[in-house]
This record gives sequence, C-alpha cells and structure tokens, in this order.
Amino acid sequence: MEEIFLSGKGNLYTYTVVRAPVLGYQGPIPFIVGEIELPEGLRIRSILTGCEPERLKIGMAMEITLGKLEEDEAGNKIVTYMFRPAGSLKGG
Amino acid sequence: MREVAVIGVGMTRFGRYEDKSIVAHGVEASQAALKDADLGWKEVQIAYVGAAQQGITPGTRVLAELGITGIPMINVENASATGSTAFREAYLAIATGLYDIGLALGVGKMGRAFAVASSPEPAEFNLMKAMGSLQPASFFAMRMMRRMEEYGTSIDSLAMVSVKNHRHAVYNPYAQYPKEVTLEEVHHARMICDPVTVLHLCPTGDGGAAAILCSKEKAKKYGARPLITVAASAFRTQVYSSKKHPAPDVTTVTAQEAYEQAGCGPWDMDLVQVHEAATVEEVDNYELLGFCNPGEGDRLIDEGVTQIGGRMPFNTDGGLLARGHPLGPTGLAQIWETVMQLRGEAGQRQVEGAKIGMAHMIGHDRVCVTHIMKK
Repeated sequence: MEEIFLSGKGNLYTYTVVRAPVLGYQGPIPFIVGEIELPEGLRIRSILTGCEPERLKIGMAMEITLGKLEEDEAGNKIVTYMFRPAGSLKGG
Repeated sequence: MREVAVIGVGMTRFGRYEDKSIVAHGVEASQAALKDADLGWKEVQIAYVGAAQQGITPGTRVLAELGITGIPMINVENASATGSTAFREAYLAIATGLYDIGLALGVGKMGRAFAVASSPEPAEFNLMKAMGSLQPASFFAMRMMRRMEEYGTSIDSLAMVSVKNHRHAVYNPYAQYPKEVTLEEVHHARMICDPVTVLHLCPTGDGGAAAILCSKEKAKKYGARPLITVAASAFRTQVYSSKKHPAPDVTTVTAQEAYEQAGCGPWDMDLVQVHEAATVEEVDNYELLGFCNPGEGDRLIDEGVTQIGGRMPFNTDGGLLARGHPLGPTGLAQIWETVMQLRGEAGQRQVEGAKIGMAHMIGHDRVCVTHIMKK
C-alpha cells in the first residue's frame, strides 16, 4: 500500500442529468453527476457544477472545486468536493 | 461431481402486490415447482432460499408453511444474483453427492423507489447517497452516455431492447408488464436521468420463483418429459481492475468458465437470458458474453438477431425490463424460462427446436452467476 497525492484534475469520462428524486440526496434537482478519470489511475463519481449540461463534453478537462450540497437543521452548510470544467471562474 | 437435473419449476406472476407477502409468493412458487416435479415437500432434502433485504431468516419463515420437516435451509443474498446463487448452491449440494433432491427458491418484495444499500451500511455509503452518487438509474445513464460516445451507439438501438423485451413478455403469463411499447413510447416516457427514460429501466416489484433439482440418476424415474440437466454452473466475482491494471469484466470470465464446463461456445446456445436492469446492459452483455466484439453489439439488436425468431433470442420471457426484477426470484425466473423453452412448453414465445440455453445474472456490479442448461 502506498499513499498517492491526487492532483484534483482529470477528464470527464461520462455524465448524466438526474431529473428524478434520489433517496438520501437533499440537494437541488435536476443536478449533474459524472465520472472523472484522474491521471493517477482512478475514476471517481462526483457532482458536476459550474456549467450548463449542454457545455459538457466527454473527454473535456475538469478540475476539483468545493460546493454546497445541502444545509443541516441548524442552517449549517454541508460542503463537498465537486468537479467543474477546467478554467471555470467559480464553482456552484 | 455427478450430473444434476431440473425436474420442476414454478413461479408467481411478478408485479406490485398490496396484500401478498414474501411467504405467500414463496409458498405459491414452491408448490408450483413441486407439482411440476410431481414431488411432495417431504421428499425435499435441502433448501436454499434467496431473498434480498427481507429481514432475518426469510427461508424458514416461508418454508415453514409447507411443513416443518427439519431439513437444512440456507438463506442466500447476492443482490440481483440472489436467486441464481441459490440455484447454484442447490446444484452443488446435489452434484457433490451429499443430497439427492433440493429446492432453490427466490422471493422478493420491493418499494417503488429502490435504493442501493438501504440497510446498515458504512459511513461512506451514506456520504455517496447524500451526493446523489448511488442511484442505479444514474449509473446506467452514465454507462449509456459513455457507450454512445465510445461506439456511436444510437438511442434507437438501445430503445429497441425495451421494445423487443416487452414484445416477448406479451406471451409470458407471469410477466409484470406483458404489454407492447413502441420506440416512440420509450423515447418519450418519463425522463429519469438523461437519456434514460423509465422504459429503459427495469421496474421494482414482488414475486417468487422456484426450481427443484435432483441427481440425474434419480431424476430418470420422474415423468416422461425431456430431462433438463445443468451443463454448466459458473460463479465469479470481479477481479480488481484499474486503468493501470486492467482485468477482464466478470461476465466475460464467468461465461468463459461456463462455456468450458459445457464444452461449447456462445453461438452454440439456442437462447440466452441476461441481466438487463437497463437496456444498455443487454447490448453490453452481447459483447461481454462473447457473441461479438466490443462495439458490435448494436448490430445484433438492430438486425433482429436477438428477438424470438432471430438466430440468438435474448430474454425470451421479457427480461428484467418487462418480466420484472424483484431481486430475490429473478435468477430463478430465468431458470423457469430456460426449462420451459427446452421442454418445448413456452407456448407462443417458444424458440423452435431449443436444446441448450444460458442464464446470466449480475449482482451489484461485482458478482456474476451463469448457468447453461440442456436437454
């Protein structure tokens, strides 16, 4: 076993726009979920943000960002990693 | 190892039932299989009961209704491959010579919205759920998007899988949706995850299916019908695979093992039942099972090869899409269909001259169980 530092960059392997409710997910619908192929050899699932689905193209360069997933009962923001097209100005 | 025959099959009609428990489905399916085998419950020596997310010891709860005979009962869970695994284990119990007669039963009852791992689960599963990443529909939609990009597969080809399997189900009295759908209806059904409409996906549902297995030697004394034997029983899980260390898909490895056991190749089959929780999975499986090269599966659906009347009919009972997929019993419904076809008792969906058939299930992306049966 060896620890590997992930660069936070990758390429869009595939994606979909989710239009129906998902059990356990409290964020806005529709939302985009995709798989990012990382140069370190992994493929991970992530919410995609920072662009309209029409702009997404399989193979395009993506980068990691942080985004709000939901708010808990006390109004605290729950934040998670997300991916956006590389070079986007801001996340979602 | 000795040869094993399937001497009885039975199932309930898959669907959504308000007032029918897994016990009722299990008893009905088991009694139908016993009747089909012309056997009494007291003659069954061991039982494997497949059920996913149905609480503690569903096997004894269901089978106590048939009579409390003291036989060993094993509860089996392997997600979608649950029923196939129960069948496989019953096969082994008899093939090894420990028992002569066994029951494999699968039962299932599901809510409308199926979620992966809805019971006790590790924290990272909850996190993935919260991130909307553990939904079967989005998994299949992403697979479909990727296939369309990689191989140029058209949405029409994928929708045709739904059209074909619904057409097959029309002639299956036990199918959940025995109703034809058109290409346009598949395209314009409710959108779940682009480009997957609800008609690209299998339904949730309830049901039961059962098979009675018997050593071939002993089976010869039962009935005048053609004897159906198990020619191969293969069971694998996925080997670790990454971009740097790629391994073949579990379906390819399992099918290869099954072909070797049966001493035949894919095109020697007369009919095939495969796991197609979504349309794209059936086309992927044409390739993974070795019927064609990667990227060539579209042609088999486009040219009608895999419909009844074609050279290699797939999912002749309607498949997961139209016969239904209540998890526990699905693999045994495939066995039911294969046995009916090989006996020549499949009515209007009969594949002419069927002598050998394959049944393939995938459990939660990692488990594969494949059987080949012949007469």
